[in-house]
Amino acid sequence: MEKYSIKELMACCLSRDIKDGEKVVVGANFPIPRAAVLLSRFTHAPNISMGMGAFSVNLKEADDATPLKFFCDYSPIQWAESAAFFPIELFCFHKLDVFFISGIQIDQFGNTNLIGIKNEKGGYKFRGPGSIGTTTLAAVAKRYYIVTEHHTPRVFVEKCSIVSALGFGDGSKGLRKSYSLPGNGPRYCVTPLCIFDFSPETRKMRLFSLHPGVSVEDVIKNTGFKPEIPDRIQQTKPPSKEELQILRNRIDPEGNLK
Amino acid sequence: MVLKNGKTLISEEEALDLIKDDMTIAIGGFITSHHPMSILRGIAKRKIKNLMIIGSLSASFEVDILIGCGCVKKLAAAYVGAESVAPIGPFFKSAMENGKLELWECDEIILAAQLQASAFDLPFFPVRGGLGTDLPVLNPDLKEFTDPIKKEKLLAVPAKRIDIAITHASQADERGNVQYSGNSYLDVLMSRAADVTITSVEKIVPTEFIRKDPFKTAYRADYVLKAPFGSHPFSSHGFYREDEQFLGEYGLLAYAATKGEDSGWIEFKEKYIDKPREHFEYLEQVGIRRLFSLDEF
Repeated sequence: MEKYSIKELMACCLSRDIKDGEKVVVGANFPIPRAAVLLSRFTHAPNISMGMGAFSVNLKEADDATPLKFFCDYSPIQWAESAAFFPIELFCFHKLDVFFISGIQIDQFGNTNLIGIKNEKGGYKFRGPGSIGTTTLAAVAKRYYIVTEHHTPRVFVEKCSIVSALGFGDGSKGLRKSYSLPGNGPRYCVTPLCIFDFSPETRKMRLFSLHPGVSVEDVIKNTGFKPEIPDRIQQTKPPSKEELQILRNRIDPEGNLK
Repeated sequence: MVLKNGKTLISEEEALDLIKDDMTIAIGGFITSHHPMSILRGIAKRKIKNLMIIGSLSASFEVDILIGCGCVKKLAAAYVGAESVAPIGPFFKSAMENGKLELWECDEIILAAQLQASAFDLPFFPVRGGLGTDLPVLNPDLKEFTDPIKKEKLLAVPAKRIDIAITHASQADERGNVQYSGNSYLDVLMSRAADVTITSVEKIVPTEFIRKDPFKTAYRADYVLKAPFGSHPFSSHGFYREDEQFLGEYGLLAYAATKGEDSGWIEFKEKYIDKPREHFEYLEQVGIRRLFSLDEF
């Protein structure tokens, strides 16, 4: 079997879960989800509607699609069929099937924090970049994936210092429904060690699959809360030869996922 | 100001004379694109103070520079940074961690809702995003309510009076008809929400040119000034890309300044903000070869 990097594996996991015909947007500076969406476009999902930066693109004739430096990069104009129409675009995010969110903190119920860590006086010990579009997208996009390159107890905390995007709140039943949120919340949390899903009974993160070579103990040691561990845990399917070939030749020739 | 013969064209000096301490200013563009930098540098140079800044949707170093130069009292922005080049604005981060900046916490949609309410002259505009999060805690202006139609919970985002919207566009005529070659982001909404709109443009064109494609006219600005490469180091769609190296350099120097090593930032500020008397002297500092290397897409 061919060698692969963890980021390539994470991109493949996400890619396989995107269905043909879905409407997908990737935020700025988020290389793994971006590669995942392109990979699904170049394999099993040729009819996805894809937002690339501030454009909606059709990659039918694209041999490759290398990364953007900035969200407002003008270069996707070469494949663009339309440009994001503001502010309508922002107020219609509930039409979106798939989105991706990261966090400086991620908690056991899938709430995420991009705002910062508070200090005792109510100010900031650490100020993060800000919630960008995630507050609304987590509420209204049909589903989203939490993706992080850092699986450590500092990131995976029992409770976020600040919640900037709502997952399942305090885990209480029907919380999202009580707010009439159209989105179903996070589906998976994909990390360099494993994939978590969310228990339908407790809304708590549950170990779904372990990446090859990772043990349950590794996950427990690196997670700042106790995730649910089912009796039988599957192993994450490694990237296929075809997936790797497309990733390396058409999506990531610069090797950012290495 | 009395306009000559109904013309909106003004100089950089005249534009800056309109901007006063304590005003609420909306800045157009989006992250690394279409910011009215010639005017913003003028604000920093003149040390205009206590501004309430409504950042573009997500903001970048155009706001960070203003914070670094001590012009900003309060800010509304969903993000301040330059993505992969520097994920977070150094002066923004430092001001927040030292309690020196009031932030109207929001995400991009909440910021747009504020402008929408202001533009439509409504007391508020409702959104769903933010319910169940800490945003209404951090920003008490966001008020949860039950809507009278479907009895659902929503967040009310209040309108805000905006003194001046400052935007950067591709072209305008002397009557103030503004056109974009690329995306206009929230500039249209900002111009409707603000009392006054000042727009810098890459070029001034004859009205006959505007009339060839009136569908392209985004809004009518009260004041227009000519500023080619006016968004540098940010991009202007159809004209030039982001100056990635410049943004990277700024990020490093500003970061060092927040850590107590400010000689590089002081030199940078002097070269690009304090010393140039107006926009064209700034462009001379940047250099013609560098500027024209940015127009390859």
